[in-house]
Amino acid sequence: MEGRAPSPRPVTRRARAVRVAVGLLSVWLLALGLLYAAGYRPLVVHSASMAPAVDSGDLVITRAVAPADIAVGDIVSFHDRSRAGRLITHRVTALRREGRGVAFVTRGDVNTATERWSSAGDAQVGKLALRVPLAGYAVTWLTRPVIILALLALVLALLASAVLGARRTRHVTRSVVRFGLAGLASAAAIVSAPIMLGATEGAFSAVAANSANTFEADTTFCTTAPQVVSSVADTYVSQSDPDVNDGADPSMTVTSQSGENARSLVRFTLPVAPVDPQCPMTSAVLRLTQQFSLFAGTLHAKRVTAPWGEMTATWNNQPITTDVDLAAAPADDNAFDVTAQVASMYAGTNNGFLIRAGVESVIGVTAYSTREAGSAPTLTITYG
Amino acid sequence: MPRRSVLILAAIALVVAIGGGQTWAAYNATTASNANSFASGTVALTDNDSGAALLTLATAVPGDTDTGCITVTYTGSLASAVHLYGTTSTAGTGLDAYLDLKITRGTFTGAAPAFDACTNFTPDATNYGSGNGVVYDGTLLAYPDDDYLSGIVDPPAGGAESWTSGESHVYKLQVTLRDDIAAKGKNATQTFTWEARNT
Repeated sequence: MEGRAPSPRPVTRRARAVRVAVGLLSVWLLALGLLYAAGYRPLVVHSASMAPAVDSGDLVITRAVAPADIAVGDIVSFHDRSRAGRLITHRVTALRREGRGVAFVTRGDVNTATERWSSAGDAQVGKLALRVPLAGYAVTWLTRPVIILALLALVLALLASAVLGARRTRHVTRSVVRFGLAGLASAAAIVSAPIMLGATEGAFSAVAANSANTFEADTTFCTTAPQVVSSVADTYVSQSDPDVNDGADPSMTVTSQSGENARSLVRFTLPVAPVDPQCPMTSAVLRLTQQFSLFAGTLHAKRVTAPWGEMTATWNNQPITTDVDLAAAPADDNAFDVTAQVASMYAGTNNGFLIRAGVESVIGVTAYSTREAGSAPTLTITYG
Repeated sequence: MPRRSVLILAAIALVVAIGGGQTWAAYNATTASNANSFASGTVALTDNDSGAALLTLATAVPGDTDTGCITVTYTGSLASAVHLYGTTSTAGTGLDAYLDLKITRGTFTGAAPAFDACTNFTPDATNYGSGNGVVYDGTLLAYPDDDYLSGIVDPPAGGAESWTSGESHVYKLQVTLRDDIAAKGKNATQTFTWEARNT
């Protein structure tokens, strides 16, 4: 083959120089390409918010990894949405799995402010693999346009002289093709350097914060004081005297004994509810003044649903009651929470309360003062 | 090195370089801005609160209000933009929805009072949209949360100000409890944050 035949003249020194240069550039290009294929990327660091771990002018090699492979403390490069997508290199201070993705909190080591960002599970994050201090300055200088142009010019000059030298070897066409390819590879290598070389920043940020501002609303917005009203009617009815009215008695009793049960009746004029919408009723308590008690059981206060008269009520004509919202309390409490019953009275009709033993068989008796005794039963309503 | 080997090597290198770049593109698009600038300097922001809270409302009823002023000073060497945002503690029970917050930027004309008094406070002469100097007027709930990007640009109209070393502004914060019975018994804890980033 003619192509394998030795050249009529030895290879010129220029041609050898071109060959060596092209070889070196190709190795450089191949190394960069392989690094790229493996997910590595060289980045020049342009600011010092990660100092001293990563400083301005450093060259860092980052590797593309899945977000799940990042741990707290790692230094990562990411496009910061809050900085117009600029490539930022900061340290991960916290992270949280979000489905397949990860939510990160990152911060520059010298910063007091953080960035919060998320990465989808199939996205990639750059993780710091290698740092070469100050190499960023050198690389940046070498990839300046004027240096690139100078290198390209040098390659062209070498090619031109090599082609001229080759003309004397009579293999002009073949030489031009070979040297042309070589020149193309060289130019690609030279131009690729600044294109492949990325830039990253360790952006600066700081916060001033005022914390622990505490706000607490009152448990009530109502300034209306509780209202207390005294009974306007109170009496008791006794099974042992089923047709007798005791409306004028200064006492009323609640008795539990088979055939001799007694029940008390009490009624109030409900106070006018406040107009302030911030003042709904929050509680209503029926209080009795005890004269004596020989009763250990539970008493019930029930809402009366039919009219009755203080001076006409008897065991036999006692009004009917409802068990709805009935209030139960030990006999010695002398107080019943009748909030729900009073709400029903405001909404409907008010016929007062009937107080009786919860179970009318256990023997016992309790006596209370009536309004005729000067210490009437009271109803206390609170708002708020 | 033989000529043929050199050519093959060059061709392989070209192919690998072109193919490899795509793997990378998933998380990276090269930003070549400022490619030749190396920033050094500092970004630092301070306030005069000495760790004390600016605002407090205790057993508040509708209409109750608290006002406090804080001076925020930039001491970094790089020019910065400032955004305002906050963090509402998750331990709260939702009072932030019933608190009206108004933040006004200004200066102290005359002597600066002790933190957090607002004596001698004068709002900026510029109307940023809600009155002179007002940078926020809304509920505490709607105040931007914990994020520089969604934070309030300082000031909110006329372009972000470039804060330079020694620059300071006074912020007057006023919080008022709304007249809504649903706020009863609720509470909230809030951090107010100013974040500076170099521009």
